[in-house]
Amino acid sequence: MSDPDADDREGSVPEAATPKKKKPKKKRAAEPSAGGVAIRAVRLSRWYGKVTAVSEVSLHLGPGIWGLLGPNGSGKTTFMRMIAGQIKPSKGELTVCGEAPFANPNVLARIGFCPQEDSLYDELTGLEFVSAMAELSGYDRVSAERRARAALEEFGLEDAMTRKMGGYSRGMRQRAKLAQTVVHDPDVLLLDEPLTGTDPSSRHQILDALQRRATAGALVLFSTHVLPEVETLTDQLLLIARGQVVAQGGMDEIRQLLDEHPHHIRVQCERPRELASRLMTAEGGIVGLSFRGPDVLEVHTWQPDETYAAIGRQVLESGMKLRSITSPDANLEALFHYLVQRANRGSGMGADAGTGAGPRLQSAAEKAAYEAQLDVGGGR
Amino acid sequence: MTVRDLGYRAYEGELRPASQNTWVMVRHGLWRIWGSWVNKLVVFFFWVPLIGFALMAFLRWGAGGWGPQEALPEGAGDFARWFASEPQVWLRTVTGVQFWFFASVVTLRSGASVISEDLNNKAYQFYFAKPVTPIQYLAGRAGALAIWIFAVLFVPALVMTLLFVGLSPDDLRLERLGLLLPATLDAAIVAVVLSVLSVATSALSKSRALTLTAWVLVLFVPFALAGLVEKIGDAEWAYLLSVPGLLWSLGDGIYKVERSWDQLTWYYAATSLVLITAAAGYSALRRIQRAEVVT
Repeated sequence: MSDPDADDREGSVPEAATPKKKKPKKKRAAEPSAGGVAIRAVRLSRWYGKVTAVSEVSLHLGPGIWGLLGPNGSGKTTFMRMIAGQIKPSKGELTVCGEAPFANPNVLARIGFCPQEDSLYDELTGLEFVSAMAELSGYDRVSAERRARAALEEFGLEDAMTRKMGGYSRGMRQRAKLAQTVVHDPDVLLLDEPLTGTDPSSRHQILDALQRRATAGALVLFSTHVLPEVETLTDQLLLIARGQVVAQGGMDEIRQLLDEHPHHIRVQCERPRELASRLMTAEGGIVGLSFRGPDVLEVHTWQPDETYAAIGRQVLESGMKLRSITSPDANLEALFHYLVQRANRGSGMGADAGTGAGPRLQSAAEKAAYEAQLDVGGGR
Repeated sequence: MTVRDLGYRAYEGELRPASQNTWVMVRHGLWRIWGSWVNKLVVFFFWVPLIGFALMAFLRWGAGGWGPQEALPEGAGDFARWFASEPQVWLRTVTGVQFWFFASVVTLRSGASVISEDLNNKAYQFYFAKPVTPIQYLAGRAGALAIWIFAVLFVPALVMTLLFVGLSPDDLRLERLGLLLPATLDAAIVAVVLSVLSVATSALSKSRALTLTAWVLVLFVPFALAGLVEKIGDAEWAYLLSVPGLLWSLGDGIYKVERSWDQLTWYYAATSLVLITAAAGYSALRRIQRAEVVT
C-alpha cells in the first residue's frame, strides 16, 4: 500500500501547497525533536474547590507506551487533561516536550488527545471532522484531507468516512476520535479509555497503531480498564488512585517493591491438605495457607523462591500428583486491586506510595536529586 | 485482517503558523452555517422581497423615472412618500426587511446557539487540544456568522443599487453607484455587531434554550419596548437600549438620510454600539478563556 505521507516527508510539496513556498516566513517547521519527547511532572496537583482530583504527582515519562490505570474518580482524566493543556494545574510543575502545555500552541501541535467522552458533531462526516482537526494542526487543505483519509483508513473507517458521524456506532465514533488524535503525527499521544466500545478486531488495529508509533519514538500514554490489554501492550504502568500515583514502573518492578504484599502461590494437587500440613513445618517464609477448592491450595509467602523450592520438595517426598503451580499475583488485576485497596486504606498514600515517587521533598537540593531519580526511561 | 502499515515517522515538513487557525475556523464555520436547513431557507427566500422591491423600482421608472423628484402633493400617504423617495431611502427599507426577516433568523440559528452547541458537543476538548487559542476560536465563530450576515444584507443592496444605476438618467448614475459605499459600510457594521453579540450570547450557557431566549430578549424585546415608550411618552432615548434601534440610527447617519428619531443621532448610536459590542466580545472571550475542559 502506498504511503500517503511520502511526499510530505520526502520534500515534494503537494500542488496546493506550492504557492506557500514563496512565503517561507509565514511557515513554521515541525520540530519533532525539539524539547525531547517527554512528560515531566513535579508535585503536580489539581483541585476543584475542596475536592482534590490529582495530588502531588511526580513522574517523568519518556518515549514508549505507558498504561495509566485507576478506578473511576481516581483522577486519570484530570491528569490527562492537564497534560493535554486543557486544565491548568493548581500547583506544581508540568512540562510536555520541555514546555508547559496549558494554552501553549508549541506544545499542543505535538500532542494528540483522544478524550473519553463519546461526543462528536453528528452533522459532520468522519472525513470532514478529521480533516478539520488536521487543518487546525497546521496542514493545508489538500494535505489535511489526505492525512485524514489515511488516518481513518488506519482505523478501519475507509468505507464510513464520508457518512455523517451521527450514524456511527460507538466503536466507529471511538475510531474517528482516534483518527483525529493521530492525524497530525503527534509526538505525544494521550488516549483516555481508547478501547471503549471497540470490537476485538478494532482493538487489534488500535493497539497495533499505538505500538507502531511508540516504536517510532512517540510517547503514548493511555488509560484503560481493560487490564489484559495493558499487559499485552506494555509493562510500563502508572497506577493512580485517589489522585495519587500509587505505583509507577514495570509490572515486575512494582511487584518486587511491594514487600508488604505477600506473594501468592496457587498449587493444584492431589492431596492439598497433606501438602499444607507439610509446608507448615517447612521453611520458606510462609505466612498463610488457604484452600481455594477441593484440590487447590493457596500459599502466602514473603519468600517466593524458597517457597517454590519447598513445595517442589514436599511434593516429591509425599509422592502426590501435582497438576499446576501458578501465581495469581502475576496478573495485573490482582496487583491493581491490592494497590487501590492500600491507597483507600490511607497507607502509602501520596508521593511516597509505591515507586511513583520518593519521600516528601523539602529542600531545593532534595527536589533536584529526586527529579534526577525520576528518569525512568522509555516504555516498551 | 491486514494491518495497514503507514510507516509512521514524525512529520518533518512545513506547517502553517497557528495564526492561520482563525481562517480555518471561519471556513469550517461557514460550512457549518450552510449545513443548517434554516439558513438554506434564508438563502432561498431572501430573494423574494428583493424581487418585490425590484418590481416596484421598475414601476416607478415607468411612472416617471428615477430622476430628480418633484414635490409631492399635500396629503400624500406614507407609501406614496416612500415610493417617491430617493434611492438611499429605498436601500434603507430593503436593508431593514433583510435585517428583520433574514439576518435575525441567521443569528438565531447560527449565532445565538453556536457556542452552546459546541459545549453540548464537548467540542472544546477537540479544538483546544489543537493549537487554537480562545481568541481564534471566538473570531472564527463570529467571523463566519458575520460573513453570512454581511452577504444577506449586502447582496440585495448591491442588486438594488445596480438597478438604480441602470434606471437612472445618465447624469445621476455615478452618484447612485456611490451608494455602494454606505451600503457596504452599513452591512459590515450590522454584520459585526450582530455576530459578536449573538455569539457572545451563545457563550452564556450550555443550554441552547437559554441562549436563544437571551438573544430574543436582546434583539427584539428592547426594540418593541422602545417603540412603546416612544408612543406613550414621546421619548426616543429608549432606543439607546435597543440594538436594532442603534443600528438603524447609525444607518441613518451612514446613508445621510432624514433621521428616524430626532434625539437619537448617529454618534450616540455609534458610541453605544462600540461599547456594547466590545463588552460582549470581551465577556465571551473571558468565558472561553476561563473554560477549562472539565467534563
